[in-house]
Amino acid sequence: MAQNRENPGWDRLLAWLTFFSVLAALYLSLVYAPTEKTMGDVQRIFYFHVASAWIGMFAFFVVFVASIAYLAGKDARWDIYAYTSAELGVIFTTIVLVTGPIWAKPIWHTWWSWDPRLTTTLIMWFLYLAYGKIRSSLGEEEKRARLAAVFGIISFVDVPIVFMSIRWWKTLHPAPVVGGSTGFALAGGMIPAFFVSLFAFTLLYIFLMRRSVRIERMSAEIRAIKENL
Amino acid sequence: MDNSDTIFYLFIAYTFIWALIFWYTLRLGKREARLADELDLLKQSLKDKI
Amino acid sequence: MNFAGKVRVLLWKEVKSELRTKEMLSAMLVFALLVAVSFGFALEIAKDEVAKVLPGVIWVTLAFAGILGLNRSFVSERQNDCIYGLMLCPVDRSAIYVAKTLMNLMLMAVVELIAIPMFFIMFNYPLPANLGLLILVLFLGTYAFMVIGTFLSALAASTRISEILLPILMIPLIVPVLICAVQVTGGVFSGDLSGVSLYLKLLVTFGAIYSGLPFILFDYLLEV
Repeated sequence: MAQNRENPGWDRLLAWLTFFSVLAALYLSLVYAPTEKTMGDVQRIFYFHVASAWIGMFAFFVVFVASIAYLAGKDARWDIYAYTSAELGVIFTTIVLVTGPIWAKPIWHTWWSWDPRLTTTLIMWFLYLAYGKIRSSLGEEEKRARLAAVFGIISFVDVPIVFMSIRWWKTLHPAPVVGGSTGFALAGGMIPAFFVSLFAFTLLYIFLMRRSVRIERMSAEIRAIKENL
Repeated sequence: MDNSDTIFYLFIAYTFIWALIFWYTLRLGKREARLADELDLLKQSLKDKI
Repeated sequence: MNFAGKVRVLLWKEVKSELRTKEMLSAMLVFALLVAVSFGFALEIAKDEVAKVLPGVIWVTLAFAGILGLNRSFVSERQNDCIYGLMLCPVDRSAIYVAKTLMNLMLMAVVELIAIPMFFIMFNYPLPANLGLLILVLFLGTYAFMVIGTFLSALAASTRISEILLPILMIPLIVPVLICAVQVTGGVFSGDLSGVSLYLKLLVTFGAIYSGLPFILFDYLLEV
């Protein structure tokens, strides 16, 4: 078991760095960034909505990679990575799915629309809830890790579709900010707000990930001791 | 678009985001504390046995 | 014996055990017809609206009837630990998967052969002119959701709560297939085939992905 190899000093540094970048992101998105002309202040949801979406999809990508790595080598460490990342992915996708309708209500005058982007994102959310359900329904560690890894690979089918949906189809959902042909251009002051928010959420993901991994290792250690008794 | 109207939606969205993250972090902290206690207890009882 | 021969032997075993009890087929058929009846009086739609609603009704019914059958597909092997007997057979694990999938496809074919005409009768809707396309989309849609469904039913059968777990795992994965199939079926009913080819291509793509992934991953599912 690879315990105590990480330096707690790094974790403390990471925690403070995350805290201050979140503060900076809040300041930049709420105060510094100019108010969008047509949408008004509600456009400021965008900074954290998009950052959560990116981190959520990234988290599911980590699940995918960790699942493959687990099946290839049967190393329990990868199983922990896959599980914690899936949980965080669900948290970030929940943020996306809640803030999206809150933005849409004043702008589209409806909470929800069945356009490809929204539909595929909702499906993605359900898929990783199901992933958690597989895990909670199995007691034996090896079997749980193996079956979850198999589903972690299959469920990733939807993630690229979510990512590409606004690039493939003309959707009601706004076009992508990066890599899209007709994306609504970010005004000068919005660019730092967006990238600092993205940076803050990336740090938050790494911070929470490290913490959850540490907790999972602790609980694995407890199980190991109990089995020995 | 009336600005004072949309700022209400903005408020709800930001509150939700940070409440969710705060709740999740709190839950992690609680779980960590509980497991740390359990681990200490187990290690202590192991030591006592020997 | 080559792969196809082994699959044929395993498929014959499936057919024989199903013919002995007719457990899955009867449940799926009765269920499909009951859903048709329920929709019939619950919706009570005017005739010109049937064309809009019927494709969705048909596909939701087929998907749920499929899930009902799939619930038994691998769970039945758990009784008396038959699954270990299967795994001890000198065949690739994927042959077991292929045989199960073929069996489930055959069951669905029988269900569709009886249930689809019943839908047209109960909703008092004339058979569409383009029958060939209707059969094609029925095949492509059923294939795509049954290949992934059979795999997931093997996955769910290894847990304690397989009957609850299977729909939760399966529905999110087959929603895109159902959407495409409903679009094509709607096109067949209305006679407007302009947007159909995109959805047919998507159905073929999903069919390919959903049969390729299980083929690679099935070995990991049946480890002891």
